[in-house]
Amino acid sequence: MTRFIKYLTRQSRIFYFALGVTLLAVIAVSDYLTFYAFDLSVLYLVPICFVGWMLGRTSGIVFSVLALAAWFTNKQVISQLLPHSFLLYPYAFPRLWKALILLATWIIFVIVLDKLKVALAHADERFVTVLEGLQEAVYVVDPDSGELLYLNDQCRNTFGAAEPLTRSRQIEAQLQPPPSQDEERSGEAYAAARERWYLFHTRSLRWVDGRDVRLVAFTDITDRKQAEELNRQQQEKLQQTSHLITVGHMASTLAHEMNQPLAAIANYAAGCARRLRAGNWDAQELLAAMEKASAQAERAGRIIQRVRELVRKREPRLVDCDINGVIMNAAGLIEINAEKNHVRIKLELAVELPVALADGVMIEQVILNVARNAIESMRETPPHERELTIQSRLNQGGAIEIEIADTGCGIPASMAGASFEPFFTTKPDGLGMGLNICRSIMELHHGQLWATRNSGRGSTFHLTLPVTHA
Amino acid sequence: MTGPGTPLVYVVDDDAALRDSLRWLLESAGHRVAACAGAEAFLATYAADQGGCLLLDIRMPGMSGLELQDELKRRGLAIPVIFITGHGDVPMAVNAVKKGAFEFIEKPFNAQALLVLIENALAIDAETRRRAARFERLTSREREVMELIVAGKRNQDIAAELSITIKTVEAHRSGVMRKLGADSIAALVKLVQNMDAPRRK
Repeated sequence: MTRFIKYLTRQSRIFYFALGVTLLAVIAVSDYLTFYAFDLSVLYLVPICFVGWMLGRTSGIVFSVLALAAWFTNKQVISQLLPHSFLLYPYAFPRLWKALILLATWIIFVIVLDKLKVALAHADERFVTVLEGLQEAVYVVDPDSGELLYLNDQCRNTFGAAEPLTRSRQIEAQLQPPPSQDEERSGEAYAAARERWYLFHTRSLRWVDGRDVRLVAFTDITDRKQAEELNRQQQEKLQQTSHLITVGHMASTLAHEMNQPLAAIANYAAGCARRLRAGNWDAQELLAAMEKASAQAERAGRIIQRVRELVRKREPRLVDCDINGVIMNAAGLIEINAEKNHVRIKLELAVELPVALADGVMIEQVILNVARNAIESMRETPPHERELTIQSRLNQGGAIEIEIADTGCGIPASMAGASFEPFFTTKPDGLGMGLNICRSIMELHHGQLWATRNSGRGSTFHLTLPVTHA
Repeated sequence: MTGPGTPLVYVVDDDAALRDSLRWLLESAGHRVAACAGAEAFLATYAADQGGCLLLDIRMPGMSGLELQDELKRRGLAIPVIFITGHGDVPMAVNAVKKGAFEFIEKPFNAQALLVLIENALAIDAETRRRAARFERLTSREREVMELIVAGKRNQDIAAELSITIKTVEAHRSGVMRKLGADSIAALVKLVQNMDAPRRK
């Protein structure tokens, strides 16, 4: 049936017209043959509507007039043949009146049909405009035959560069894995030829002719995929680097170990104080406790010593080092952390900076540590003001100076010096070891690390490194 | 002051210095202290009828503090436990408290705070034991009657259920009330509920 209709639609307007005329003739003859036994005037609507729909309003009206002429002639001839008593419209006036009514009815039909056709066309146009305007490639396929019933421009451009698309397998062959004809499915597919990733959704729906068909929509997610991949790689790199960074790890181990002697010392001291206060004490006993306490203090000292040795154990490999390169490496590593905290990183690197004798990895760790602190200090800063500036320059003393400036909460004046003390921290979950160890690293390089308050918001950390003299 | 009846503070920590210093501190407050180097040693020495409390390191080689807590629960030993935690173990300790530990204290701790905690734990333990002792004094028949009273049964029903006369039920009932020191049914129900509830303040 659908094939027949399709066949018809391919034929010319003349064919429709001829078909209309034939129908009209058949009805007119039938009308004549049945005389007054049946009123067949309603049947004329069939050719009129057909032609009106297929060829437009004008043709429809012309056909209405033709049909009326046929009807009227019929009645006229019949009225000559039969006696008046047999006639439905024995006089000329009612016959004319009936003719007028018929014509009006038919023309109304033609006009309404025409309006309907225009409205439908508009609806279709809107639908197509939306689909063509989509970023997504969309096609509709008959799952039984694999025939493509519809595809939008995006789809044609994406998958049909070589040949016109008529079958869904032409598209599916380009994708790995191919989007199957399963009902309601989503997934990702890779088009190897174009090196692009697509997210596809398959929906089943009822096509205009009642068939169950599948609508498949593709979104290009290559950029997102790449970003994810990049992010994953960076995270991996960051993790590897943080393995290198013993600073944080060391600090937490240290905190664990230090707790034991510290708690013991506190207990011995408190026990002594309580006994003395109560006046219930024995000198020998107190003495023993105090000696044990000082032994614990020595134990704590040994733990600190071990940490220092650990720092030293990583014998710095002092080589000629491009400090700008080190800064850029470090900046790359903190980028994700910065982005997550809405912090912009600004690099102001001096051109033609002389090389320094330094262990690049260690300096990178110091920069990372300071920068991480800086980012954390900006938690309370409004996001648009969060800025981390890393500057490199040759200072007046002839040393390379790296300045790491934030717009964070800053260091209170009274604590500017204390922030380098072990266990100093302004962070609720901090250990206060990082800066102390960073300073040790800088001193190992015959450099310095100190902090200043900014005139505006935040604070600046300064690292200096002596320049290599050839 | 010291004697078999007085409560014992058990200190279980793998660090010898911490154990010894805790003993020094706790003895200054007049507590009797038993120190154990590990969970296994504690389980070997602890007797259920000994009143006291347990000062327990959360991290230990071998059986950890948390595992010991589970083991105590499994054995039905209800000694109040105070966990000692190190840096970064707080979430673990909070969990332990949720599972019925009495309290936890972070290292290094304030001596006074620890002593207060221990006083409280000992008081709770003593109270629980006192209550338990009262229940011990009930005869098995009285216990049966008590359970039925608490379940909300009337004397007639209890008599029918236990196949005894109402008069006997009334006698048992007054025995229960007297021995447990309850002056009303409501007070009795509360006592029984407190026995069953986890021993936390």
